[in-house]
Parts: sequence; C-alpha cells; structure tokens
Amino acid sequence: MKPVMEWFSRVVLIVTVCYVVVFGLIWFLRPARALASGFLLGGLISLYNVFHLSFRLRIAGLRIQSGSRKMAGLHMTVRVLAIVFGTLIVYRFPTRIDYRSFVLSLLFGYLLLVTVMSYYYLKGNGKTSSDEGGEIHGSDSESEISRNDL
Amino acid sequence: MSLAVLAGGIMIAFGALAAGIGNGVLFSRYLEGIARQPEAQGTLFGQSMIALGLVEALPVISIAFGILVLFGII
Repeated sequence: MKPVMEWFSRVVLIVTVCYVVVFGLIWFLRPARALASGFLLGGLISLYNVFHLSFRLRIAGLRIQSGSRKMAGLHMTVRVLAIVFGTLIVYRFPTRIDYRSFVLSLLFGYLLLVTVMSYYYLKGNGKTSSDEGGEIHGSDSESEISRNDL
Repeated sequence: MSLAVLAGGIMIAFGALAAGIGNGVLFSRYLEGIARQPEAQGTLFGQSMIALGLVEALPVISIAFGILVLFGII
C-alpha cells in the first residue's frame, strides 16, 4: 500500500504548490483579488481535507494489520471544522473573499482525488499480490506467515 | 427564528447525517476487508479513497452553503 500513498502524496503536493502559485500570482497581480483569495482558501482547505482523509485511512489500515486494539477513526470532525473555519473567514471578510469561488473550490480536492486515483487504477497499478504474485502490499508479513502456518 | 436559519440548520444537519452514514458504512467495509485479506490493502485503500471522496463531496458543499445561508450571506 505504501507506493499508492507515496504516489498520491506526491501528486497532492505538486498540485498544491501549482495551485498556490497560480492563484497567488492572480491575487498578487490584482486582476480579481476577491475571486483569487476565495479559490485559494477553498482549494487549500479542500486539499488539506483530502490529504487528511488519506492519512487517517492509511493509519486505520495499518492498525488493523498490526492487530492493535486501539481504535482509529476517520476524524471527520476535523475536516468539517476546517470547512467551518474557512466559512467563518469568508463571513468575517466578505469584501475580500468571494464566497462563490470559496464554495466552488471546496470541491477541487475531491475531484482531484477521484481523478488521480482513477488514473492510478486505469494505468493498472492497483493489482494485488494475489493477482500477479508480485510484491505484497502492506507493511507486515507476520500475518501472512501465521496464516500460512495455520 | 427566521426561515434562513432553519434552512441553514437543515442543510448542515442532513449533510452531516448523510456523510456520517456513508463514511461509516464504507470505513467498516474497508476495515473488514483488510482484516479478512491483509495483502489486498493496496487495492482496498485506493478504492476506498475514491468512494470516500465521492461520499464526502456532497456534505462539504452542503455544510459550506448551510453556514452561508445561516449567516445570511446568500
């Protein structure tokens, strides 16, 4: 699973940098400051949400694999509060941040997520070891050994 | 209480409810799949990410719009 996560993190990082540079330039050059700041705020919150979601999903999977009894959730409250935080900023500065662009750009991260992961699987990278007999995905091999021994 | 406040509250509440149910079902199936077949975690991770992204997109928009309606911006 590690290659999927690493690949996805790299893509999200590159897209985030490009996103910030593009909208930062638009904001700096002042063609449409309110629109640019709305897109910037919403896009950053959305990308953070997507990254956080993938991180929590990975942690939960690893905990199950290692047999830990400690519960791991998806921490959805954190993501909802991030959106609430952004919305409160929009409410506080209505003339400087456009709310339409903010709400629109909240979808950006999720669209990116679906596009990137679909592309990953369409390329044929998501096959398991049972499909090809290749590298075992996941970090521990103890569970494999114990199951085979049993 | 104005109708805008009621509308905003309903948007936020139902968005959160739907996301909670959807995420809960997906996440439980993901964990169940890993527990049954640990070597399939790579595949399950990507597919769960796609499904979770699709599930979470709607409540995100409904919460943002709900708060904006609640504060009377829209």
